[in-house]
Amino acid sequence: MYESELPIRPEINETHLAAAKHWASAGTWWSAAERIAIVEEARKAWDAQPLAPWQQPSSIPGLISDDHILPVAAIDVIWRLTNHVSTLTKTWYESFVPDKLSAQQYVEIVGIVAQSTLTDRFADALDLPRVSLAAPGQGQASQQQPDDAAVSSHWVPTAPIVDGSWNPATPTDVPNVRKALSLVAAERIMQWVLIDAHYVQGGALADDFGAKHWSLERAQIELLGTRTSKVNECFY
Amino acid sequence: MGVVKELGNNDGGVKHGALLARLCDAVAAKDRTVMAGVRADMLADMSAEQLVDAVGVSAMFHMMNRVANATGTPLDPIMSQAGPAISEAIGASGFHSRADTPEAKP
Repeated sequence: MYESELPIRPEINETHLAAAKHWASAGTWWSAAERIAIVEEARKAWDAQPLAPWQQPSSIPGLISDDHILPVAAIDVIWRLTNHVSTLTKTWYESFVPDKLSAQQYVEIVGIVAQSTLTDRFADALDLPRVSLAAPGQGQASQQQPDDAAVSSHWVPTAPIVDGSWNPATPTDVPNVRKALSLVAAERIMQWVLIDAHYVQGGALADDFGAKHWSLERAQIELLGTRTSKVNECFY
Repeated sequence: MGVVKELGNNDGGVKHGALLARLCDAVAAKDRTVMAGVRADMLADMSAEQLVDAVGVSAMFHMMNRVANATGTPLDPIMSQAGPAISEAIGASGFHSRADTPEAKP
């Protein structure tokens, strides 16, 4: 995948390639072509001259082509997620959902943008070419969703998750950020795969503060996570 | 926590902490020259493996921060007691996302 003299671990190569294949496949609420367009739009947003948070790309004449495959609301969401992650509010969310996008469509966009942000920031930081985007696959969006999804804790509807690796005694007690995309299971699963390849595998999170992971000490990993979250102003 | 709150020369008790904090800021920014400088410093002071893994962790948090901030992810119960002190220590009390991050449910 990545061709570099740097010692890129197989887990990173394999999961970035898996993510690229995932984006190019028919999704749950968006087609494969639309999903590829979501990644392309996130890249366009990152590489563009910066807009103020309140400036939607759809308000800039000529910035979005008239025949764009994605609805304007999706493009506005993608740009804000990509470039102004510190400014997202419930009011902003409700300005799109449910009138302009369904919660399901929104959650799938969040998943794809978040995943491609991971792979692209990785590549950019190491001066590597970004993951190539495959031609979109065939098939229709599956429109599968969990029967028991509801707005219960997050802004978006979520579904209960059962994962005994965290605590076998309370297998439904997983961190809330791991439940956040559960309305669209395929995006939640891709998120978890990427977490495990780059951070600390789920079940080990709370009990190994003296351990090393890959080449880093756990304290170094937590510093990297906390400082990045500080830069992005993520209170969670 | 000072190394998280602001950049400087203090490692905060973490090996190469100040350099790792600089790396996070460079990954989040769009300045290729600054990023190249941090890469060179990491290769000189740490190792190529640590550079790759550190960039991977920071990039992973870019994913998680977007998921959390875009979905109104509430604090986990484990943070209900420690959260305020940590928030104050790293300067998170003024984040926009604080107002829209629901409180932890025990």
